[in-house]
Amino acid sequence: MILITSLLIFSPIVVSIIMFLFNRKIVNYLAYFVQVVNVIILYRLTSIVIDKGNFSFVYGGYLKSVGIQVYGDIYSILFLWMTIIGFSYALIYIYDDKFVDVKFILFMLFLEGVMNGIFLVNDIFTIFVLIELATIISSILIIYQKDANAVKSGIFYLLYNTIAMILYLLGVVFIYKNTGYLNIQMIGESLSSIYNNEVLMGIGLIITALSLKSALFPVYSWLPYAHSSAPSSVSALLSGLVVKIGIFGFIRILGVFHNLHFQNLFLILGIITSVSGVLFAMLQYDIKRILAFSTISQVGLITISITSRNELGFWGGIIHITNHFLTKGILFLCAGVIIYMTGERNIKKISGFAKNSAIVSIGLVVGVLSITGAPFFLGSVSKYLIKAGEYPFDIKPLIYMINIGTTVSFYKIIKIFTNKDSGENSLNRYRKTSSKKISIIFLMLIMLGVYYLEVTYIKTYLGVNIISSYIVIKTLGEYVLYILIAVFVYKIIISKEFYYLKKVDNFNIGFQSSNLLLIVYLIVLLSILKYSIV
Amino acid sequence: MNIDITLAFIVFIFGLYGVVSSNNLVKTIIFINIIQSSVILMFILLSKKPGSGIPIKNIGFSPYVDPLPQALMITTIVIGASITAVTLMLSIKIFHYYGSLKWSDIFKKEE
Repeated sequence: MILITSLLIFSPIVVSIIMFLFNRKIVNYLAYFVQVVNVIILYRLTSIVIDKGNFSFVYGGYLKSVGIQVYGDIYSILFLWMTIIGFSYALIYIYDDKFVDVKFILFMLFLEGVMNGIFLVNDIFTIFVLIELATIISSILIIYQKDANAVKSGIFYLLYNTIAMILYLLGVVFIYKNTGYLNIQMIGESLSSIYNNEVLMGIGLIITALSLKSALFPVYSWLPYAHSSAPSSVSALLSGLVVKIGIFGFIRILGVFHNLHFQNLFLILGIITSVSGVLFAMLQYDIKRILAFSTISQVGLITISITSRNELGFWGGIIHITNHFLTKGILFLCAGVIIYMTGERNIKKISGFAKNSAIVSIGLVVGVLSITGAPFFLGSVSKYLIKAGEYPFDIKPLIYMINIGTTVSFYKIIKIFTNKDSGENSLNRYRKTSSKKISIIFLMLIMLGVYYLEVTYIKTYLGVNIISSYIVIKTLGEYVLYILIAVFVYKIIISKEFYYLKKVDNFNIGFQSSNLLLIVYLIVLLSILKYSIV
Repeated sequence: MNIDITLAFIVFIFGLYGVVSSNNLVKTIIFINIIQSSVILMFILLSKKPGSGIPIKNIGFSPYVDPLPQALMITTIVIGASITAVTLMLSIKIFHYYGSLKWSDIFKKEE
């Protein structure tokens, strides 16, 4: 048990160091070997969790209160599978990239080990250390190509996230002072009755930091910069996986405070986040910025759904984490190939890639259909469950609005197929893209398998048959309606490019105002915690 | 709250004010270090109790200082140092590309 769990965390790190030391082409295949080993280990861990329930142990035989405890439950297993699938497709994708060298793979594998660690450790201080490590490594990966935009985004990302994690550490101070524990379960047990001001302040600080990590309103200004200027493989990982660290933290850390009711707070945060994300996504013309803002809106949707009072909505949110990870992965990979082939990021100017690469076109269409919720695609499953959730007030109109906004922004992406081929960038068109295509095919196969698994498990455990004719016809009807409204909205409002809309398109928040927003958010959150939750 | 923890908190607020108000990248990095030091100071001051001794078994102080915060804070100091190193390296690159270290120049609106 201890051995295989440690292998999961340390094998990518050790292999990355071996690769860096020897630096031969043949040694680089170890990176792929590690993924295979991890899949086998994870398969074993999954069967343990399903048969015997959650597992936990303490490294080094220390007491639970002072040692580093490893704790695995069903959420850890889910996130671990996401990590391994994510890094597998990213490693396949970068195989024939020119800028990739052994150092890039070193950081990638190191990040994989750190991510595995985050999803397994069970005390708030070790989570802090690992999230800081993940932040540093991701920012190095963002700036790897060293162009001006990437360096700017990287330093913004690193400094802003560091400030948030210092706030998290202050929260740890307050909680440790009042409970004397760092272990999450023991904190929950010792806080079962009393919540004084200091503990509430600690919880508020931790919520602030994790909101910034998961890009909730109003502290998401780092995300569009970072996710749009990173290399595409890294963008896919950041958008699909690293953003979800915050959501995982919410589930794991806030899950132990039984007496506090965060549901309404997170419902409102999620609604504001997703609506604002969708509004910005509709107005962008840079393909990767559209995807980045769409990530914000989907994270908001997940935040809404995990506050649901019944099981359907909650599990809809958890399934949407997986679905969004796969969908956003395939969209970012396709966007990466398109930018690589045409050398153009503006969706009005991209042209002439569809003729040369059918696989990328298919991948893009599959991704768009999935994220907008077409029947028989991944997005429809979780979006149906989220709508079936039970909330304090009726949020269905809001979810329809968010879906229509998503459809508008992806209708713009689909329109690149109709752009006239200008023939200017024919030179780039014959660049080597075979490994990128393989990774897109790999991801589509994974999506197919996950769809099958989701349909079977939802039928068995939640009692809903997603592919029954009633649900399929209902989803199809809604989808057609979305498309009609989306085309209408696009023709009437977006394509006119009014002056004020262009202003919003250029809207960027600088570093100082972002920090001001962070502090205002913190103060508002603390007063909400003080006056309305307890 | 003790007087020393209150002082550390004042340093924290000061650092936070500096991060919001300073327009210079290197100054921001310095202020982030100040915030981090204040939090570290707060965490270490937690373990201090009046009349308590060093946490070594054979010497036999009966109320002893909690050793855990100190062990944890060494890790935090290392993380802070590495973040400072990476951000300073990046600020060299920023100066190379933008010719300035001011946030207002770096995030200038593109026309």
